[in-house]
Amino acid sequence: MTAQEMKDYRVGLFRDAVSMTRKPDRLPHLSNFWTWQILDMGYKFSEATHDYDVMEKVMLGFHERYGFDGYQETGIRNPQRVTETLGDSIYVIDDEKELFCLQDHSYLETSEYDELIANPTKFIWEKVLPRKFYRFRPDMDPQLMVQCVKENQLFWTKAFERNSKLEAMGVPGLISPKNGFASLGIEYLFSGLRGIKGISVDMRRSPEKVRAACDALDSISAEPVVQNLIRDVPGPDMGYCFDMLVAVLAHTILNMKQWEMFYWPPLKRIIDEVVAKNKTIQLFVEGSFLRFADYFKDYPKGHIGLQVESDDILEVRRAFPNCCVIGGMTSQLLGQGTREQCVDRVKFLVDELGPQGFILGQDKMMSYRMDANPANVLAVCDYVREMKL
Amino acid sequence: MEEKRNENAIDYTKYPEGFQAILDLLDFIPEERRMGTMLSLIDNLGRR
Repeated sequence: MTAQEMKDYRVGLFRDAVSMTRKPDRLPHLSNFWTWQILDMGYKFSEATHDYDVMEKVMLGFHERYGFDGYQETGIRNPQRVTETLGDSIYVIDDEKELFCLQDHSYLETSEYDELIANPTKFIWEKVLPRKFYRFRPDMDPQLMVQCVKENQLFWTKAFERNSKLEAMGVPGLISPKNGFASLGIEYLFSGLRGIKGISVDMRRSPEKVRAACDALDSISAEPVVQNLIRDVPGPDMGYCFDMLVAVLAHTILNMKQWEMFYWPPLKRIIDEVVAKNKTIQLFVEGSFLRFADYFKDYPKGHIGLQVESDDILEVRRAFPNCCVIGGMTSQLLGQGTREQCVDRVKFLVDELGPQGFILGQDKMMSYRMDANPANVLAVCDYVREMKL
Repeated sequence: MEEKRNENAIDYTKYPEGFQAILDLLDFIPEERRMGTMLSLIDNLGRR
């Protein structure tokens, strides 16, 4: 098979699985490995995130070793060189302890909601950037910002080069760049501006302000993606496994009333348009999602790939019968089980979930060394590659 | 002289003045793409 044929074959596996009516030729296998890739390839976190040649070796080497059908992460999650140009302080990277995380942070004060609502771009420029980046100062050398722009361009140029080289190895891009990644306003508040603690308090004290802030942030983040989707031609982009992606994280701190107020309206708008245009969407969900199942029950099959974290994937299948489910291989087994247990888990999942509407993946964002034993990962990858449904 | 220079100094953290001053320096990017490039960067910096 040529690289193009392999790429088309892999796209077909994902598209058939999401259709829920066509049986894929074999089980599609999605990598939910993130910084674990760096360690497995023998590099340090700071090396790979600061040297694009190293990141390329990590990504290509990872595929050569394991041969997944698609990759959630191809080195674009952590733009260290971009943020550090302006003096980044919220990342904690400790190569000795193999630690890579973000501190919970807040760059928006409760009294500033009206400013954010009035003009979110102005607010981010005038308030967020100076608080977040110590070099972003009134009297800074403007060439610093020019350098930041160049680093951002380089970041994406290198990302594109890596993806092109993966494509030359028969690996399709996961998400079509036509519609790409939509981040909801509530997610922006949750993980970018107000933080977990701050937003939790604000939603109780000033729900209308939070709603208005979400709408304002949606106008610069999610809405352009929605407009792009509306303008796009109907039908899937068959060069990619999914047409778009939404990462679902903030729901973990919402009660049902808050979900109805802050989360569901913009998410529904996106999914409605995806269905209307006969496209597919991957919902990358952290935490538990079962309590929201009713909101999805009226969508037809064939459009939603639901990647879950902490819910039992069999329960997810029962609760979301019209969605392709993604996941199932637990980090607990990959990290502490035997190769036989891991392979048996695949067999069990296929018996219970397949052959239609299931994409195998890991239940967690695989980040640290102990999250998986490489021999187990290899055993699962080899087994999936040979197994016909 | 020092006061006059300070009066005319651009505060790069002000929007739109500082933002526009940076935008004007991006002559290595085609003009029609500069605004999109900057807005994309701000989104990235605000979110990461």
